[in-house]
Amino acid sequence: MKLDNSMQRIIIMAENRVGVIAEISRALAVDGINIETLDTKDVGSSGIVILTTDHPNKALHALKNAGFKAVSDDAIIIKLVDEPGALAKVAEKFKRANVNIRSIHILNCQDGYSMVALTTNDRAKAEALIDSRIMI
Amino acid sequence: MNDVSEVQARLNSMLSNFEKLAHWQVGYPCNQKFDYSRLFDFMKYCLNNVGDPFHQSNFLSNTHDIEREVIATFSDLMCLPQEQAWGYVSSGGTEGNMYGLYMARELFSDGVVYFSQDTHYSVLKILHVLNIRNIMIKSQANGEIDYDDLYETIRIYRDVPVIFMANIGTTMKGAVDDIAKVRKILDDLAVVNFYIHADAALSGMILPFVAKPQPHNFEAGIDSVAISGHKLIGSPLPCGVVLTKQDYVARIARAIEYVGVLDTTLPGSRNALAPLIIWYAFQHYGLSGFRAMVSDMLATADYAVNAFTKHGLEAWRNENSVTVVIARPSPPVLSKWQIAPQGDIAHIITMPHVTCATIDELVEDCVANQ
Repeated sequence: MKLDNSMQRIIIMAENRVGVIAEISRALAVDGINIETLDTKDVGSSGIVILTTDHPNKALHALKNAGFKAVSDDAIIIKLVDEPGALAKVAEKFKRANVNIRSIHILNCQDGYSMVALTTNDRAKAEALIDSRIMI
Repeated sequence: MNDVSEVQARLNSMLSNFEKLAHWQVGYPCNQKFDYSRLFDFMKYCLNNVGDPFHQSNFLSNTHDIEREVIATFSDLMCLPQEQAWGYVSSGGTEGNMYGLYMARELFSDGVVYFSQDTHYSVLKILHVLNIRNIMIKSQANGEIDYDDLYETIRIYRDVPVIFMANIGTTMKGAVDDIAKVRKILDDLAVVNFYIHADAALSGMILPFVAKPQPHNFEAGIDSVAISGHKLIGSPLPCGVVLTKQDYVARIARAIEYVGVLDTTLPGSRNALAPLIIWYAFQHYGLSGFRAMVSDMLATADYAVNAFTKHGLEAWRNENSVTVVIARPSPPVLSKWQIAPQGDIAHIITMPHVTCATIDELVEDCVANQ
């Protein structure tokens, strides 16, 4: 069985410094993986790199082996203020709308913000509930 | 058969490498001071602890009786009355954690697992395998769970059973989640259905031997615990102990006819040497020996904190922890010493083979390669 996941996004937590994109590109090029799209976002002193490639699974392994914290786009990634109860507020919104959370994982905490990965039983409904300004 | 001299040469080379590596191993919680030569003869036999150690097995070449003694010893250490205790010697902490969370899921199939962001990565794999809903909670700077965040999150799902995965000594910082505080949160929120599993891989052999341990055991309110055998006790092979209450196990027991046992353990075939090793260590040291060992390790940890800070290098440790957190050393230091860094920090763990002289040598390298 062949799974078509060529449009799957990969989200990389990286330091916000010169040379990071080159390091990511090099890590992928070594394994013959082509970058199809690439976008970056600043989150304080850290950054988020969002890319699509022709081999997402291979790319995840290559990035992990190169020391990057990378996740696939099965999860919704949001940026929250790093304070007690911030995640709970999101969870509460989901609960009221009958969206079941499968998992909530904190990916990164820096400069007063947390990057959080959420998986739910209804992605579309979950995305509609989240303020687009905090969604990556 | 391959050329005997070639085989021997390869074995010798591997052995020599392990001997060399042992000296530089300061960042992993493995006690390298042990001597199990009196058990060597047991390696001549095909031993297997398949099945539940508390039920008779058709496979007689087992060490179930020894395994039961090991479970009894850990029941005492973890303040669980022996007549209520059940457990087995596992392949290590991960299997023990998997057993605890499996038990929780069987008791509360609709439960949500709460765990801190300092939890060992293997727990994420376990949650995926067991397909349990899960929520990661913020950690405090010292690695302990953020109780305010835990409170706020549980408050929203107070009608859903709570499965709390407690860290009794986090991997990187040796932080202990306070079970009494967690129980208070559950009480305050009137949560009636809950289960607390404790990952006490290293600290499960430390806290029972200190004067003022953080609340961590069955008396404090845990329902199961996983403790490593190859960490503080020291073992040439990975192993551990998982301990829980008989009542819970009885509810998930499954009869496996062909081995003639009620197989309530996770694997089929199980290592029969591991219980012997743990049992022998307790015979050799006794509880007073382990108490003295823990005291020495904590003294070395204090020595390490002082040695680093004296040279202007960052170093600290949590209460009752032998894990000394330091700033990430430079690449030359990391390539020489066996230290696992994480982001901008690293740690050294003052296991019995790590002496003050070893610490001095490491500090000297860190200073020279800043």
